[in-house]
Amino acid sequence: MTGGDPMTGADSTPTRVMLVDDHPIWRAALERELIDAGLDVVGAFGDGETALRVAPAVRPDVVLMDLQLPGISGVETAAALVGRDPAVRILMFSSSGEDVDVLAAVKVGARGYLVKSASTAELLAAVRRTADGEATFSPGLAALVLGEYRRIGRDEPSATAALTDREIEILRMVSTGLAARQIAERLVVSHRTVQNHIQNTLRKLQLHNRVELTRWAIDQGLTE
Amino acid sequence: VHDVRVTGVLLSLWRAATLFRIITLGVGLYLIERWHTLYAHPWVAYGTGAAMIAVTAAIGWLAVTGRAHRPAVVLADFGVTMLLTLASIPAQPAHQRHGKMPTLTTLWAAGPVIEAAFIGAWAAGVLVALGQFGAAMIVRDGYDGHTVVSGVLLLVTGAVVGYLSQLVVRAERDLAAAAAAHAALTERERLTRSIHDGVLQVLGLVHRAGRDADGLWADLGTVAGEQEAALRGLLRSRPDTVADPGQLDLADALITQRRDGVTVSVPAEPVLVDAAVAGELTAAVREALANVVRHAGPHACAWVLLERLDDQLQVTIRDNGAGLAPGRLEAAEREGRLGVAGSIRGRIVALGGAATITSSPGQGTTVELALPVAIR
Repeated sequence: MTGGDPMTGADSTPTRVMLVDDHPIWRAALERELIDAGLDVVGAFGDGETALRVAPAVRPDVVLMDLQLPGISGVETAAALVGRDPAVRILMFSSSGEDVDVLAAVKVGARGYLVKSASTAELLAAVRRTADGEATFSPGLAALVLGEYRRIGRDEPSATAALTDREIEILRMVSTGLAARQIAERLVVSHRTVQNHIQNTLRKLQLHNRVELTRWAIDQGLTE
Repeated sequence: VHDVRVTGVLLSLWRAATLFRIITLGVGLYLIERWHTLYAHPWVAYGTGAAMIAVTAAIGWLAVTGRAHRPAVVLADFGVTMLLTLASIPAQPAHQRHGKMPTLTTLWAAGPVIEAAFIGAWAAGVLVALGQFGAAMIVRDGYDGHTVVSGVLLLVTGAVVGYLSQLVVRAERDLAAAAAAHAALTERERLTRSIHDGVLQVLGLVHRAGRDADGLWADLGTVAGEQEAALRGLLRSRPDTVADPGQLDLADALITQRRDGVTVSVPAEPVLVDAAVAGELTAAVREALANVVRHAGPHACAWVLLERLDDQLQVTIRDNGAGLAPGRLEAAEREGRLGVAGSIRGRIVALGGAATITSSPGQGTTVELALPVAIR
């Protein structure tokens, strides 16, 4: 499914991508690459407010969004999009060195993250993977997620946010550059199993985040 | 002579001391005038009063212009004030001095105690208070309850004023430092935003465009990518998060090793360790990466992962290069040809940690560095 064919899904319609990046040159360059690859760019916007307003109308399969946006941030926009439609598939696009924001975006429900310097091939592969519902897990993101679980384990131990040994093993492999297929070979499991483990680590982190937010909201409500 | 004028809260303190001096001068002059008929030598008392006016004027002028905060000034004031207190001996008849009559300088003599406390904290305040206490005892030719009470009050004044003045000066300094730090942070954020929206975007685009090009354009792209990474590293480093100057964020230190073909992945939060430990670990990682370039082949990529476990730091360096045949590493170690591997292991063992190197042909090499450390 992630081969050269830009078509995804049973109905064979092109993947609908919404692009959110405040830098006009970047936006234009990315839009061109996506269109050239046969993807359907249903919107290219420079800020989160517009993206939020238009998203319900254009129903993108994938939202490709920069972390740094003027006005409401990429993380806030992602949170609002997921809040409206938990099935929305968001791929964050960021420069390296924005680790805290990347982690925040993943915790509110982004499906993956790609560095801006990624090549065209890497970008297209990531967009297609995201459209297929797979997590785009770079080594950097895996290390962030691993680090976040370890921090939670130290600061606020919780059963919802604990990794199994297998999940830790897989996250460490991703962090040190192994692709899902290589990991599947090494562990003698299917590619799908590896993907499921990776998805689980994200899902549990997002769940933990929601629980924390709810708890926080209740605490606020009780003290007011 | 350094003509450093005090400002801020110290200047305010000196002004307050001047006000105290003027008020107590008024009291002293009033008493001299009121009792001049009783004195043995009224002209000595008048002379003392005139000298008190002169001293108050001189010290007051220096104080309000911020130039009195010097040991020499306070010592001079202390000496003159002592002499003026001792002038009570010729001025007052013996029975007055031994009775309830206060010294000529009265409360005004507490001035140098307060001034000394400004300069040398409570210790100097107490020392000068003892001096004034001694002078009063000489005048009284001994001590009675009245003198002791005054003396104790003077000592307490010296100690308390010294302590409090130090406290407020320190508070002022801390506040100024905090304001400066905040200003620096604000400026940094402004610059970061501007650089991020401009230069970095262009460098990123050139880097990306260079990937699909050849020759000079490809080189330009690579250089732009390196500059982008370096600039990002600068913007990312957070000196404000490291409170202890002896500590460093190991994540920041390792990120400096990022370049094309080398991916460095770290946790989101700072990993604070002793600067020496950070230096050694970074050096070990640098050697391991140099080794990758040397042995794993020209197209090999390397990944560095930093993890902070409960009681240890773990750094993993993996490459996808040619790898080593089974037993080759062990053989080299047995023969004493430790090379880079030995050097890396030496650094880590010296820090109390352990280094594990695993490799097999076609599977690349993995170096794991584990270091037990008390973090934070």
